[in-house]
Amino acid sequence: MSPIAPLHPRRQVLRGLGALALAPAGMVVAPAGAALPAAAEEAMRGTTVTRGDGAIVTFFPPASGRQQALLGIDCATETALFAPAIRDFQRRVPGLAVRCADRQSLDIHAQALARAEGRLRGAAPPLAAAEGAPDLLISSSLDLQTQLANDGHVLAHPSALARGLPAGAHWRHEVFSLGADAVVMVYHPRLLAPGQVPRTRGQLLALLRDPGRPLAGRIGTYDATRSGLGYLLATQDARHDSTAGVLLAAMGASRVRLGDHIEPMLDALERGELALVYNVPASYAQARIAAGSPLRLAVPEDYTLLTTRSAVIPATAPYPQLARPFLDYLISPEGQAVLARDTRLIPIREAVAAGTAGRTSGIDPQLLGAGPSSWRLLAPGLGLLVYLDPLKRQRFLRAWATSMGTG
Amino acid sequence: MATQAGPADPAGPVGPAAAPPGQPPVRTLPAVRRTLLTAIATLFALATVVLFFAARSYGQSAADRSYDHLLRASALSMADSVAFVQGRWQVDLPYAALDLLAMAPQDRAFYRIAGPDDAPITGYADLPRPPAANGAQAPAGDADGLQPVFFTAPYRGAEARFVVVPRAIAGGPGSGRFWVQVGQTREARDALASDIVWRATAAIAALMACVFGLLWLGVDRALRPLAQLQRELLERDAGDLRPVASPVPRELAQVVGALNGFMGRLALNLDALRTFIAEAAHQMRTPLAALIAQAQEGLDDDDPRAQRQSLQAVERNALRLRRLLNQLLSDASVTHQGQLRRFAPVDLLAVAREALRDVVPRAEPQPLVRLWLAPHLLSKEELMAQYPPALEAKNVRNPGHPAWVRGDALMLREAIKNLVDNALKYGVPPGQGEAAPAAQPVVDVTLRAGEGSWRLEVADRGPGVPDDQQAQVFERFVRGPGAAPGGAGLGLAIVQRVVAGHGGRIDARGRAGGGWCIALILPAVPCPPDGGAPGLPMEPSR
Repeated sequence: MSPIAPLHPRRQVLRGLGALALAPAGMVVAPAGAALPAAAEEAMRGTTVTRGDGAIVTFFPPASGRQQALLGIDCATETALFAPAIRDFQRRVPGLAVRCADRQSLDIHAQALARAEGRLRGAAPPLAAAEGAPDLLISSSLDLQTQLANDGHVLAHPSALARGLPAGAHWRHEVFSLGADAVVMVYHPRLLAPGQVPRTRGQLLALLRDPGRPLAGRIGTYDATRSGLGYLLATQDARHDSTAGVLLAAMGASRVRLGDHIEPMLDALERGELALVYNVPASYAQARIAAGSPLRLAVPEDYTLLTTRSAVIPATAPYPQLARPFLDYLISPEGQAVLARDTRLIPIREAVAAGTAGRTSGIDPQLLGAGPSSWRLLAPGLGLLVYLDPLKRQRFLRAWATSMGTG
Repeated sequence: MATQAGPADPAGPVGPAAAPPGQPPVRTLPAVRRTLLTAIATLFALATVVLFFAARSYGQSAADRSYDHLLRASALSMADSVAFVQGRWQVDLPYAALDLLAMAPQDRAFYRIAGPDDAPITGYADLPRPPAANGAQAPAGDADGLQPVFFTAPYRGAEARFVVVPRAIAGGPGSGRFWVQVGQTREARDALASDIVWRATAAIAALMACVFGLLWLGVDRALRPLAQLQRELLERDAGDLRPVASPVPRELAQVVGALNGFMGRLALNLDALRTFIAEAAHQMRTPLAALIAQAQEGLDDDDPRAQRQSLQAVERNALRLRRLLNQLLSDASVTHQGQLRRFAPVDLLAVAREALRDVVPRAEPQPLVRLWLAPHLLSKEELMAQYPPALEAKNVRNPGHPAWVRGDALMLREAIKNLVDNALKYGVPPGQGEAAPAAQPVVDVTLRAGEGSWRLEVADRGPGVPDDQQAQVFERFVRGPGAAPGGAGLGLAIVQRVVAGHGGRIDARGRAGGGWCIALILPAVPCPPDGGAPGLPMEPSR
């Protein structure tokens, strides 16, 4: 880890004041969410959490020493999942505070685009910094991250570590996949007998059409219109599976429950309100299972999508020199090990090996579906931009909503 | 190919053994290896530069061609997905449209679909428009045709290559036309182009290195026999003049042949010199011994007649000694004179007269030596009018018509003296000899004008030299067959050297009616401008 370049003293004071403003006294609250992994819970200790402009902002004070620099991260993931990695990195860089804003991925990118356009129009960077512009964007919406890079709104990071990454793990050294997450079905074993658990999407379709209606009103999935990840998964399903529309229609007929966040859906599943949630990033469910939840995973064997958490350094970053070492840490073997252990992400190098060559060594055997050929790794690249075309998106979402019976 | 020999190197590559101390250094030309390698290197440097630029231009166009296909395929697949339904544009971009462009994995891609009047339908509305061709309006450069237009323009901080594909749709608004523009940054193109360039350049460089190495080794190998030759010559005894034994390349065969020939002649000369020294010593000892004996005999004898006979014998032997010494002196002076090369226009006739005056003995019995002049520059009548038909040496008058040649008077005189001396000595008709001194030799010296040359003939009635030995008698210290004792074999060799030094030649042949005739043929020169006779003052004949 390269040391953090010391900031200008006056700037330090300003950053410190900013941090104070973000963390009013008495606002130290326990992190939301029912079942955080022990490591995450430990990592969140000592942080301050505020809510504002639709985001949950978590402030990580320096691990040691006085605060000298502040790294701003916009994160479309539960902050708690990244907390162990942030804490580990802070131990390596004394005096570094981290501010992590947890937002919807669509918000993150809308804001990033707005700032980037502002930059193009000539808005002064300090203004952007004063508005709390992030130095790093971490999101599960790989398509939106790729679009930012394609439009020239991100900084390249061709460090030695970055150049050592395999081809599917980055795009132009601008978009970096930090780790992969298998997209699975999660069910409640009390509400779904072992014999009924679907192993493929075809079996899920059959179960939806079952005359006994075991899933009627008890199936949930992402709302593609409100969640960036939900849209990405829905478009990937449409791309990989010619019968995706039929499945959607069947879900719509079963009065599917839609959510823009996965955690409330899993809560509902644990409460028994739902029997099965389709298209769940496995890490969320695994964290709950590890914490004692009764939920179970069903890995689709026809194909298993590997979605990724990806990071970019926006061109509007006030302190890219702080973001670069953290990004290097995240893709380094140490950072990947922390992410794999505490966040349960599949290390990106192994995910690429699985997605391209079918080599699955080092991947949780619980996640292994039918075989090597069933992995579909979502790699950053131009193809993802197709579904971001406004007309295409409009058309797709109209069809999706129609199928789901919400349109 | 223009050979680019480097400038003459003053400190040329003279081998350490090539110039032993005390000898002037060998004059050298630029080394063969350097000349060859410089020429090849120049050619290759030029070729590399030319090929580099050719490869760059080719690489650019090849890269553009191959990636333009992708770009057009992408634009066409997008165009196929455009529809106009119920008064609204619909675009269902196929996944492959942009995935195609991911063949260039590091390149960003942009697209724009615009309807009539450049109304944006979808994509990046701010893409650069194609350069207007012939005043045609954007969005398509080719306003009427349906041909794709390719162009390069900067967009979002990078150079990008764009294609605009025009399409018409039935039932569309206005003209029903729409345009699909797809662009891609140039990273993969530039990478491919530079890859082509560097591969080509690397191939050229490798080829150049190979040729260079082969040449280096080849020159080394070709020059190795020379080193062997040098070693052989260095290791030789000073007196070892055998032909060179080391094999040499065919190109050097002539040089070594000449060297062998030179050494052969040197050996012959050395041999002859040794023989000559022995013979000269021997021949000088004999007349000396005779001289001493005769002198003692004369001293012992009281009879004045016997004393006179002894004195005559002393004189005879002394004369023989003198002739021998004269020849040696003549040889030495010709050698010396020949090295000086102080040539000037000389009147050959005057020289001949001088020579005759020197060589014809004045004591009785005087031989008959006649000098003839036969220039065909004069008609026979003029000649008859001006000169008596036969001009005897003793009373020839200055004909006033010099025979100009360019040369050294002393050398020419020595040559003529030797020729006449030879003729006097050996030109006795066969069957006679010194034993019959009554028969006087008759020698005719004739000066004739030839084609741009003067021909001086010395003819006698002697036995001559057989044809097969004619070449040899002109070598030093080689004497004709049956030559009388007292000669050293130098006379004709002197003549030969003088004539060769003057760019002339010798013509020796038998004479009609018996006898032998040797002709000196010397190139004529025009009369010197002052009309005088430099080199030899014209003395009035006695």
